[in-house]
Amino acid sequence: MNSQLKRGTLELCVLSIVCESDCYGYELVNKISTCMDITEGTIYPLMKRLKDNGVIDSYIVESQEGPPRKYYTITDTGRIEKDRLYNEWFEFVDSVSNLLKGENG
Amino acid sequence: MVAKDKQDFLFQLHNELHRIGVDANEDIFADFEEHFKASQNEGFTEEETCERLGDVKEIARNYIDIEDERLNSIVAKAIESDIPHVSLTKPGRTESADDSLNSKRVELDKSKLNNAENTETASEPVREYTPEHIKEEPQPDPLSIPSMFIAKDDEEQTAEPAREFTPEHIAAEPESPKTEQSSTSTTMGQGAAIGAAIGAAVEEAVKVVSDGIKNSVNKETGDEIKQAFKEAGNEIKDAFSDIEKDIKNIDKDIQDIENELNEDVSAANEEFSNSHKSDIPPQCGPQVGNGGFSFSDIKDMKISINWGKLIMWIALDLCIFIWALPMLASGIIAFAGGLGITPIVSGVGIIIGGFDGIFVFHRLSEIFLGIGITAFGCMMTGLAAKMVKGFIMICKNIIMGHVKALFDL
Repeated sequence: MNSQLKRGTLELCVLSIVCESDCYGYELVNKISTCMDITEGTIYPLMKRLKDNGVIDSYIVESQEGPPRKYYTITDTGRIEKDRLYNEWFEFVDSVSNLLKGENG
Repeated sequence: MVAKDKQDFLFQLHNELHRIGVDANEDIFADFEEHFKASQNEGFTEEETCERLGDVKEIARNYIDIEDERLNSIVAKAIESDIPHVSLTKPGRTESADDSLNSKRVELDKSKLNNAENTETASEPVREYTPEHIKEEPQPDPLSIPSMFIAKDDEEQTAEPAREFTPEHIAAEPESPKTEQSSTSTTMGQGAAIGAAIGAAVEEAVKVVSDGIKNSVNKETGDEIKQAFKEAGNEIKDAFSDIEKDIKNIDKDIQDIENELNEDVSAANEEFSNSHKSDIPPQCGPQVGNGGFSFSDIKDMKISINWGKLIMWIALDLCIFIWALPMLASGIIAFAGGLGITPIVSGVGIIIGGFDGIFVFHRLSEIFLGIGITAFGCMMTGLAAKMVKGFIMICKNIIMGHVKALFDL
């Protein structure tokens, strides 16, 4: 997969995962890495950036058996941003598939 | 570079973040600590987790603030591409490392070209999607990119409002040839001059960049770039001052070794001449006065006896002075007798016989005296012979003087 496409879609993937339900870092990394071949470590910088931009937020959950976990949750601006990216994505996919179909036809 | 274990990962990440100027707060490390623990619970080893996390440098680079990512990546890449060059000139590093770096760069360029082609082909139908996703993409290294490609980039940038940082990335370009030119022809001894040259080049680049920024970018980001370039320049300067220090230290070491060697040589010479001083006859030693013998010559010499010569000389002494022995002995005994002690005349009659009556010598005394007179006579003859020889030499010199005058020799 093209690395630039990957980068562009990564943010959308993260936002939609977090939008479904709050999750912690390792969980998120695993979810993304199952469908995309990424450098797992780069998720954390991305999360920090998203948080700095105010589209996601984080909170610490103390757990009995393990260390405290940092959970990520989506903010209201995050939801708007997610919808925007979501639309952009399908516009992109549609235009590409139209182009490809046109070439094939 | 992929880390070995958790400790190594965190250490490398810390260094890398510090190097590219990202404020490394506790949260960043806490995230990864948590990741390692969670991964461990799933049954992965630290090594496996590190492998899955990936290249530490890439991770660190992603922490550069997105708003300034393009600017920061220019600066970060400037640092990245310059520092290895500088450190290559350090003693112990070889040129082959430089080559491998260059070949890596070539590969990078190629891959960037490919990427760029993809972008271009994709750009037309997906115009709306492009800006954001290009914005996230780190700026292609302006220092290593072919100039024809940069020109293309510019065209695109003028068309794209998202690309507002054009001038400084062009302005950053002049730094490249200067830096590379000087660093490739580097030898260790030229460290100082090159340090100054690169420092100047970087400063110039900073100036050019800041001028470019004034025209296009707001003051805050401009200052940030300026600051970053200054830091880059300082780092390079520091590296070169380190090299200078190294060279100075090496020079000092060489001087020390030379001094030590000189000391060793002079010590060895002294030792040799001390242990062999007696081997060197005075005539072979340093010339004293007119070349004759003087007592100062033997002042510091060790005694080393030539027994043959010594015995010969003692025998000659005996021969010369043997006649004085009976005189001395009889004198002492006569003096003792005069003091009232009864002379034991009969026992030492032989010696006393030397004075047995006026002008009458005991037979043995006559023999002693005869030997002594003969020896003395011989000595006097020798002396006379020497004098005659000397006289002849003088005569000869006088005659030769006349002859030399006659023939102008």
